[in-house]
Amino acid sequence: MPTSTSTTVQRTREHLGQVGVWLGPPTLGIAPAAAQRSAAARIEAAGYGSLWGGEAINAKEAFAQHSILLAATESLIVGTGIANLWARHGSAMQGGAAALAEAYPGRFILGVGVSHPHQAARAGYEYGRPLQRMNEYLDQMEAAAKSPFLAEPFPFVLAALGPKMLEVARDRADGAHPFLSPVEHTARARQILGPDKLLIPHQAVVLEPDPAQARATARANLAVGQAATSVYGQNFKRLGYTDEDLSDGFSDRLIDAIVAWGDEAAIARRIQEHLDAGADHVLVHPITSDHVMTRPAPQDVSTAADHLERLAPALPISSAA
Amino acid sequence: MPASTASTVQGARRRLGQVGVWLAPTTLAATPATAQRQAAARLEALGLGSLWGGERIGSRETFAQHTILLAATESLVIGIGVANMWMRRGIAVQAGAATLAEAYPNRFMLGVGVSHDHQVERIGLKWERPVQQMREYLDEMDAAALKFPELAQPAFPFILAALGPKMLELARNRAGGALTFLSPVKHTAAARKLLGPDKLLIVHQAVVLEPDPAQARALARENLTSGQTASTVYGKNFLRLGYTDHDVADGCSNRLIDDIVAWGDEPAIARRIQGHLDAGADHVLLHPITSDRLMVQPDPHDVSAAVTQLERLAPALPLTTS
Repeated sequence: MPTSTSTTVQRTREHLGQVGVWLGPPTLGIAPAAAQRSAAARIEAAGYGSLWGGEAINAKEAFAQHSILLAATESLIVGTGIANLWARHGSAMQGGAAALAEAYPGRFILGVGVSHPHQAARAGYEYGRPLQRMNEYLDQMEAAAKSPFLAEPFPFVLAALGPKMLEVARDRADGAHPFLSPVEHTARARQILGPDKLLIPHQAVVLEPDPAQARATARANLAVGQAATSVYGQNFKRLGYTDEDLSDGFSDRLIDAIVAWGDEAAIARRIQEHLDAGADHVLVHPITSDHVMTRPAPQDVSTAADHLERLAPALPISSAA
Repeated sequence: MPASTASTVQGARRRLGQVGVWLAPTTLAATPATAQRQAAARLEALGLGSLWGGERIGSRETFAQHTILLAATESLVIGIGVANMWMRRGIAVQAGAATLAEAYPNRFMLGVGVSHDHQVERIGLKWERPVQQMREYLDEMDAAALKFPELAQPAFPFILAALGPKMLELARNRAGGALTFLSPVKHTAAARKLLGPDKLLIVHQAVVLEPDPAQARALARENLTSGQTASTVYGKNFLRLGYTDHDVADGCSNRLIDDIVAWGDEPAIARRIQGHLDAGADHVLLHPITSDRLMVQPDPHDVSAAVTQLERLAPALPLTTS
C-alpha cells in the first residue's frame, strides 16, 4: 500500500541517518552506468545515508536507473526523487517499487511527483490540475497494491511544495520530499506533516566561499528559464518572496535562502538548520559548475562525488571507509 | 529509432545462440529476488543464450524485474518478453530500454506487446483495435527517439509480440522482428515468410518433459488451454492456421495440444526445437511447464523447478556450454 505504517517511517528514519545525496536527472542522464556505479560506491563509502536521482521524461527511466545504483552499492538507501507520474500507470509505479523493495530489502524509497507542465507534455499529457491528478494516481497505486504480488511495503514520499500537496503527502503517503526550498519551508512543511511523517528536503550546494562566484554558479543552474513562473516560483511567493526577488536571476536574498554556498562549515550549518526545522534527512545536491543543470557532461557525476567527499568530514555522517 | 538496424539484428543473432528460456510473469511474480538470482546464474552456467520474463499487470514492473536478472548474471542476454504497452508511455519504454542497453552492453533486448483484453480492462483501460493501438505506441516511441536522440543510444534489439499477419507486418516494418507465443511450427514458417530473412524471429515454446502422453497433455491443458476459446488472441491464431472450432474447444484437441506444446523425452523436445529452427526461427525460448498448477497457482519454488528441468534437458539441446 502506498500509505505505510509508522513502522515504515520509524525504520526508514533509523536507516537513513541525517544526510544523503540528490543528483539531477541531467547529471545521471548523461553519465554512463560505469561512471554512475563508481560514483555511487564513493558516495556510500563517504558515509552518506542515501542517494536519489529524479526522472525527466526525456532522460533515463526511473526504475532502470535506480536499479543500476542499487546493484552498484551494498547498503546505501536509494530513492527516486522523484519518479515521474506522467511516465507510467500507477499500477506500474506500485509494481516497480514493490519489486525493488523486495529485491533490495530496506534499501529502496519511492518518491513520486507530478513534476512540471513541460514534462507532462513530453509524455503526451496536459498538466491540468496537479492535485487531482496526484489523487487519481494514488488511487491507481492503491488498487494495484491489492495484488498479492505487489504487497511488499516500501517507504513512499511525494514531491510536495504547496500546503495542499503536503496534505496529500501526509494523508496518503509516508511524507514529503520538497525541492529547492529555504529552511522556512522545511519548518512549514513539518507543521503540516505532523511529527509522524518523513520530511526529506533537497538542498542545492555550491562548495565555493567567494560570494560572487558561488551565486553566479547557483544562478546559472537554478534561476534560469521558467524558474520564476514555475512551481518553484509559486512556492517562493507563498513564502513571502516578491516579484522583485524572482526577477532577473533571483535576488541575492532568495539565492542565499535556497542555495547553501560557502566553505564546508557553512554548508554543514545550513543542513543543521533544516534538521532543526524538522527535516528527517537532507539531500545534498552538489552544483559543481555553472552548467551542470543546463549543459551536463559525462564527468559531472564524478565531480559531484569529489565535492561530496570533500564535504563529508564536516557533516553529521559516519564514514563507512 | 526503435526499429532496430540491420547491425542490431545481426548482433543479436550472434549473441543469442539457438535456445533460451522464457519464464511466465506469474512464475517470476511468486519468486523472491534471491531465488531468481540463483536461478538466473544456473541458467547462465548451462549455456542457454537468453532469459526472458514478461509483464503482467499486477505483478513486478518490467524494468525493475529484468534489472534484477541482469545484475545477477555476467553475460546472459536478458529480454523483456514482453513489456505491456498499457503500463507506460512510449517515451518511457524507449527510455527504460536505452538505460539498460547502456548499463549492460549487448545484453538487453526489448519486446513490447498489446497484452490481453482481460488484463487491460482490469485497470480501467479499453482494449480494442490492438494493431492500431500498437502503431500509435510505436509512433510515440519513434517521436521520442527522434526528438531526444539520447533515448535511442545505444541501439537495442527491439521486437514485437505478434501472431496475426498485421502485427507481424508491423514487427517487420517498425521493429527488429517478432516474438511469437504458444504457436505450432507451421506458424513459425508463416511468420518467417512475412518477416523476410532480415528480421529476428524468436519463438516461445511450452515444454513438458514427460513421456507419458496422457500425463503430458493433462499438464499442458491445465496450464495453457483450459481457458482458451476461439475468441482469445491465441484461439484466433489457431483458427487462422486451419484448426477448427472443435480443436479449440474444451481445453483443445490432442492434435492442437501436440502441435503447440513440446512434450516427451529429451530427444522429442530437441526435435521440436529443431523444427522451429528449420522453419525459420532464430532462437527458441523454452517455457518449462513443471506442474499442473504452474500458471494458475504459482509458487516460490517454480523457478528453481524450471531450472532443474532445463538442466535435465540441456545435454540434448544445441547449446554453447560455458
